[in-house]
Amino acid sequence: MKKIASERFGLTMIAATLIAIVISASQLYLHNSHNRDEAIKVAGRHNIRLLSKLTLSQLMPEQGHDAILELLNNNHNSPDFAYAAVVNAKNQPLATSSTGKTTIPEITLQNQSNWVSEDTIEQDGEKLLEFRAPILEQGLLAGFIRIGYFQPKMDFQLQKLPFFGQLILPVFLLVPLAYWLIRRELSPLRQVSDDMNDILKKQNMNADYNSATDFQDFMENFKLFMTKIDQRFEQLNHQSTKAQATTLALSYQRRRIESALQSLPDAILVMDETGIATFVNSKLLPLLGISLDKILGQQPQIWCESIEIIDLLAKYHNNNHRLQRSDTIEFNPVNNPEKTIAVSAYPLFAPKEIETICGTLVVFHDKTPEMLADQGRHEFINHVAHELKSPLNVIHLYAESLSDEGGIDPVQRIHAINVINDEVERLSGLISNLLNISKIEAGNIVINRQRIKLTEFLEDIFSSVSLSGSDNHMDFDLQLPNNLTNIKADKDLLRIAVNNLLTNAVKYNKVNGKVTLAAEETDQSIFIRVSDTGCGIKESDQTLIFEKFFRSDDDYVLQKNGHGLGLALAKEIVELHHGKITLESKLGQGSIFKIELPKTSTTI
Amino acid sequence: MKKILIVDDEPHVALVLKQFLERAGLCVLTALNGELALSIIKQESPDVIVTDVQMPRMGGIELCETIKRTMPDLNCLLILMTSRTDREIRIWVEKQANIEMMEKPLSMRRLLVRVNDYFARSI
Repeated sequence: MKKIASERFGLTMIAATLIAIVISASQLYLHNSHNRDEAIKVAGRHNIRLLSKLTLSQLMPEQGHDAILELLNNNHNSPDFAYAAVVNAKNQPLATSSTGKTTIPEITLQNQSNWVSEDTIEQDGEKLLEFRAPILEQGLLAGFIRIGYFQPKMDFQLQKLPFFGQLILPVFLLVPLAYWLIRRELSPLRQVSDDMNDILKKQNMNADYNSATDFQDFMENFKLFMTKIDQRFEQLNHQSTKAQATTLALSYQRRRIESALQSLPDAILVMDETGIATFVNSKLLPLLGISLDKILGQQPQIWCESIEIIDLLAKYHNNNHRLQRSDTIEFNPVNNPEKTIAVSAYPLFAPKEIETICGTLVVFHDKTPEMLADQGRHEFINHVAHELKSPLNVIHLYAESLSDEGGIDPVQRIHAINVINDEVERLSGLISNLLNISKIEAGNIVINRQRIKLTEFLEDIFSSVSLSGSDNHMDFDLQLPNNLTNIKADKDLLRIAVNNLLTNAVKYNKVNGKVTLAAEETDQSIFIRVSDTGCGIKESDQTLIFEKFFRSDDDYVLQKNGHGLGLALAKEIVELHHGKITLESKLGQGSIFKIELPKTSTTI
Repeated sequence: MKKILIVDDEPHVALVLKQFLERAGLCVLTALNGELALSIIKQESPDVIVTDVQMPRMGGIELCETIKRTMPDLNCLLILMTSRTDREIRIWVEKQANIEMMEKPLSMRRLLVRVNDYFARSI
């Protein structure tokens, strides 16, 4: 199709050239004819003027001698010369000379002009141009001189052929040459055009064009190519913007997911289907003590020191049989053997193919706090059970002793009854302490804040404790400043806290010891201080003394009844009022417990 | 006179047991914890030792083990008083010779029956 188009272009060129040649040749011919016409007229007029200047006698010196006409005939130097004749005034030829191609036409000299005239005469189908002039003899009209020329015809003159041939040949030669040159010069264009076409075809943008020539082909193709390129460029630009936006969104989402994974309380490890770690969160470092760089991009055998974990993870990367469910083991890390870590592996299924496993999620959960809490709970229950059973046991034993058939003496009986009473009270105190602690710890207790006249309040507690402790010959001292600010607090709870400190001060005091209850006030806080001159608390116990059920293993302490809840409860109550409780003590010298209540939360 | 040692950190328990067993005609010694008990055992070589399990400064189980380890020749019945009905303690007691377990709250009469039974067999 394209070949034919390009050949057609060649043929059209040749045809156009031929038409141009024909037009040029005809123009040339017409021009030539016109020139001949003019030349005849010029030659005729010139000759007739020359001859008309001669007299008849000069023209014809002798009768029948027509030398001048012969001369003219032989030297007219024009292919169109027909004849020359001298006629008398009556139009009778006196002398003639012709080329023999035609006879001298007979004409009627109707208009006997005195001057030169021209006439077109038709004879035997040929047009003749005749120039006439009168001949004078001694001033009188003696005759006429007539010179005839063939009027040039529109015919092809063979003698002119070489001229035309010379003219046309180079053009004929030049045309194919030019055509060949153009084609040769255009061939790279064609190549480019073909290439562009191929690209367009490849890009599925084939155009429906129908152009005639290579160059047009090229231009059309080029235009189309540019349009398509432009479209494609627009499209790509659009796609690129879209892709950039998508990439940004994806990267944001990825960062968010990674951030979520990093924020998880447990350590996370994600492995691909070959067991190579692809993601690790920072929680794994403190758990295993292995730097994350060593884990990422590696298989468990490389970084993991625990055979249990390697065995667990191997189940998920076994090509023959991959575990399809989660599995959990517990292990103690080498760097931290007292910790217990639960390692759970979960197979990751490909999003759309439920059967295909694309990796494993491994969660490392530090179970130590839970285990400690479990252990603590267990210990607490044991403790409570023990503390409850001990007084019950004593009551049971004394009750049994009272019911002894053998009978016991009255002193022992009274003692038994007193012990039973004491133990019942102790049991009741223990239970209410337990309930209070449990309420505070569960956050269920509602502080019933009421206005407390601190001076009266402290005096009241002081007097009740000092009465009960008077048996031991103790010295009680109350140091309260004047105008102590009234406070807003839960009266019942605060009474328990202060009472617990005071009874402890009495319980663990020496015989003849001293118990002091004092209060101080600063701009920020109110301090309630309970000091004793008792056994004191050894340094190692001072941090533990406020813990539930803690009892020192000092002999002096062990001799006294106690269940280790009094100080724990006092601390909880003070903290409930946003205050704090502190202790200063030296073994054997006594202890000072100080309650600090901030005025911001307790003053009116 | 047969000697019986009561080991309990609760002074009232030791006292009431002492009064009851003395009325039954036994010589009763008391100790507040395992450590004090060991020194008394060394001096007095009691025939029966009744001990609490949970005590500060050497509990009942540690006391039993120490006695078995340091005084293998001591011919003596060990009775553990425990509030713990723990399987572990029960299993441990079952494996030991001459160690028995009595649960709290303790019945003094049952204790006396058991002790008398032991004395009757050992004669």
